[in-house]
Amino acid sequence: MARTKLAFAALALTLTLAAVKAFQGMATPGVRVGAVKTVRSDLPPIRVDFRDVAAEAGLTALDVSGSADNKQYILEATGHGVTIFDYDNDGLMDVFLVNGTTFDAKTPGPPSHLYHNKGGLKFEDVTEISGLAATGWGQGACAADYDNDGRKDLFVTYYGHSVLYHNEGGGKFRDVTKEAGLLGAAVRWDTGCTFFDYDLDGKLDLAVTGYIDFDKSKVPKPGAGGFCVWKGLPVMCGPRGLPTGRHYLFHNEGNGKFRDVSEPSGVAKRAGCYGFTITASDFDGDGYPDLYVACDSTPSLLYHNKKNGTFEETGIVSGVALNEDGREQAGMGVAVADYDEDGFPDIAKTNFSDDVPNLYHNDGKGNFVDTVYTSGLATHSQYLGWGINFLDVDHDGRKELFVVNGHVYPEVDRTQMDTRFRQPRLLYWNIGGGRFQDISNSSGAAIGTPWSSRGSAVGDLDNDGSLEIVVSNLGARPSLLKNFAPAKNWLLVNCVGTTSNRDAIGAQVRLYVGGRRLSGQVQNGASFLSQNDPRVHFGVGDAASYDRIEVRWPNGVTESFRGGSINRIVTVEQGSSRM
Amino acid sequence: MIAGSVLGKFALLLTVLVALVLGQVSPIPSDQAMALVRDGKAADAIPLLERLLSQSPNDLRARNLLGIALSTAGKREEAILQFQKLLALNPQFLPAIKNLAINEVELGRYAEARGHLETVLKASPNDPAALVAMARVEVALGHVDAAAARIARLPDAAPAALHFEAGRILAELERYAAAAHQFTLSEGGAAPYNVGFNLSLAYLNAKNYPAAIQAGKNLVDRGIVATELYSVLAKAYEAAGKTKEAYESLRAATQLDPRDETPYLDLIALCAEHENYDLGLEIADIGLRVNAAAYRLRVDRGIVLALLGRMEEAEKEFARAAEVKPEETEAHLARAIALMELNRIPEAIDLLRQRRKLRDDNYLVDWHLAEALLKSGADAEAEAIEALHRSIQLNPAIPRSHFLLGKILLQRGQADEAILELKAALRLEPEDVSATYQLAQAYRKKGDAPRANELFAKVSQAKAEASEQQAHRGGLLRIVRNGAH
Repeated sequence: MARTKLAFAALALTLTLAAVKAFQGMATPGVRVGAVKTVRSDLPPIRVDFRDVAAEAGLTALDVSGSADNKQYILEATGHGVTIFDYDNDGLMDVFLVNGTTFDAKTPGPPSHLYHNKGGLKFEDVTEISGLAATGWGQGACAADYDNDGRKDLFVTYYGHSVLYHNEGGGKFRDVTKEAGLLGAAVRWDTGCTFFDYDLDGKLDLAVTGYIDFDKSKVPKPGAGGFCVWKGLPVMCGPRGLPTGRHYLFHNEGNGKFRDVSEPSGVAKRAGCYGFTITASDFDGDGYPDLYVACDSTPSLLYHNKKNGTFEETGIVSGVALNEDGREQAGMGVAVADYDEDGFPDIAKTNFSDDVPNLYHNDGKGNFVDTVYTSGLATHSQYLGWGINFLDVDHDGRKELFVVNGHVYPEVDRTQMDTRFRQPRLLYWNIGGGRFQDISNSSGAAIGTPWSSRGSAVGDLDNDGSLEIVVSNLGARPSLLKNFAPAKNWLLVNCVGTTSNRDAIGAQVRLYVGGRRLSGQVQNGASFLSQNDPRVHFGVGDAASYDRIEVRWPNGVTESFRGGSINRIVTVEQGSSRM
Repeated sequence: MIAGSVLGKFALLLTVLVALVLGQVSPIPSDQAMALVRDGKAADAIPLLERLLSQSPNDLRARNLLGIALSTAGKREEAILQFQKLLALNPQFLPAIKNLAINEVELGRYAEARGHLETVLKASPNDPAALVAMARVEVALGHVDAAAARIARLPDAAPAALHFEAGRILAELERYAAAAHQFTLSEGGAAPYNVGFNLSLAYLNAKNYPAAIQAGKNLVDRGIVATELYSVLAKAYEAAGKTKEAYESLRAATQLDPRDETPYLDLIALCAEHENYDLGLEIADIGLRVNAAAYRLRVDRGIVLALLGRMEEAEKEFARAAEVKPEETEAHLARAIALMELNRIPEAIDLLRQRRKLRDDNYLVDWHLAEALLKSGADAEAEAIEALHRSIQLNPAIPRSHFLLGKILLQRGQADEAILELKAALRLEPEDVSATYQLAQAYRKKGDAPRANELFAKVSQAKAEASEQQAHRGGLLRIVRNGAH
């Protein structure tokens, strides 16, 4: 959450004392960031109508994150993630909403919330009976079947001590943090997490990011320190000026236990990152998953998997650490997808206000170029971005980009600044050729309504083939966005690993349909401290059937599954193809 | 170097030397002529001396005095002629050699002056006037250390005016501590304000803030004040961590001439340094109440509004400033930037194109026009490149222009041309991370991995160092309001 460079850097340099002027030369033009290149499509416009149906669906839990309008500490402003997963194996995606607390709470504060999907977009709060009613400064969560027992477990990050819940079946979870070897001795501010199998041994390992080495007693009051003023407004301090957190990698030993390999793997070596979202993907196509971390106010990180249990940080060399001017940004959320259908996973990242997001295009060898300006995604610099998701809204086979926004300083609402605490969402239509068109104003009330949003997760919650979006809103109820506009055909691919990890996290799915090859992958951590529906969604346009599905499983084995009809959920199990 | 307004206040070296030479010339050829020269009435002395010389052409002293009078009257070529005539009669007449050299210095004939001054200094190695004049010659010829060495030989007992001039030369050479020493030795001479101001400014630049404050305060205590002095004092106070005193100093400056916008601008700058933009805005409002036509103040008010995140108001303020002084570029430029920030790109382009049509001598207009054009869409890329080329032509010393051009060229796939521009940017600013990063990408695009990796490593190192510095950065002071306005 950096205060980004000011637009008037060049002219602001004239604001220097006269005595200095006598000894100084002409001001060098500063660097500004602004909206650029509005892209327009000649394609027929698509119909999108997202409406917020959270209240009707029963997603009503109030998010708590410190004081509502008088945030003294940065911990109160970063908000929470959303995790979509099917905890009870009923075929319907459930929703886990992470929650926080307050500093002055006399009671323990509210818990995070697990919502059971009853079908028909109706949910019931099962937090208490599920055993997930813990309270504290929750941050994000990731769900995966780490012990390959067929049930999805849950890891929740906290400022304090993060928790691993084992899914016991019957809708019950049990805190196994200590016995799994994940209980840290010290209080930490963990944020992002992702399950992934970095050594391809079929067992899911766990990576966790740290934001700030936060000690409330050592943080200055708003306006008191050098990094506690924003545009002249006294605000909570940080992250600049505060010590960075640390990142962890835990190896899954296979007996329900994890081993901390942060140091030997090299993940802990790279300091100097205020880490938020972490996600895994094989960015360079070498068969091993790499890690990408969105860092706030510091260069973001790409941990390249060296295939020997160690990682090398290559963010700057790979082109995903900085913007095109070589400047660090305030990275928040991450989305990974092949947006231009070239077969390689690209990265989109949200940043602070007075800045634009990044769209790092992958050349297939793990080298990236930030194409945000030419893609049309830089049309708004006034918003502070958090959750970000690729999703095919119109089912044309190309993935749109959805972004949620919201400021961190409630104080801005008490000023005459042009920005506001609550900000609208953005939807960019993928018009092909690597370009996007901003359709936020014509995509339904749920896009334009302002909230101070943080995490967002995408999934097909009613199994009708079109994707819903769940959004965590700071200090408010969540949003559930459903698109009521008609969409074309679709396919939802549910991957099940056998020799690979059962969740098939890391599997790359290619759908061959109508002469096109569409790509997707099974991912874990995503957006902002969130997790999307693990099933891989494809829009297939007007196609009535698909030719085949090709899966490269996490262990490197590629398998083809014969084609069939569309508009259905297809489960592909490793080793079961009959081509 | 030394504040421009002060420059004109210094007595010319020649004037100083006139007095010295007068003291050396004896016996006087004419009491009347001498008195006239002494009183600065050179124009009256010249015909008198010319008449005298028509009767006694070999009167060396009268000819020397005529040369001095002509010099004083600004007729340096004629003065040189007189000194040359005199030296034809007596080549060993040192005062004439020195006066000749001084006139040559003034006319920029440094080689000739050097030869004549060497003759003088050979005969009189510690001649103060010759030493100072020789120092000026050395500076002009780029012999910085030699110039400083000449001044180092200047006896403390030299006339105050020569110490003052020596101080100016050293300040020009950015040897501020030595300059301050010379200014101190010049105290007690004429123009105490000039001495005190330059002393304070030299100490400020030598980072001797307590001494800078003391020198400034000495003048204030004597009631010899000016806006620029308060500015220097404020800067010294600020550098010494005394923000409140800096603020008060600038407030005092506003009392000197409430219509003078300079102290208000300084106050706003101080507020901006401390991110106290609300107070900066308040100060701008006060200044504009006194002088609504203060152009610069209005521009700064707009900048403060922009820094406060009130871009729409800022844009309007810049428009108002442009109405006050439509001929000035700055307000138009600021407005164009605000329009870009407000995503009103076509308006920004129109404005910048208009400004360019009216005046084509501002590299910033072309630079921002290029940026606005790039924001507007791919069709304008060629015009943007053209604008950047113009900007570079107008001011080749701006690394950012080369960088932006290099970046666009790289995006267009013109890696070789991009590399040239990015290298130019790095020649101007070797530590520029943006240019280093882009150059690394250009080399990578060309398949030159070793060079690319070397540059990426440099970027990584710079980021790590920046992170380290940030970790050690202390908190900022806040301006304390104390009965402000």
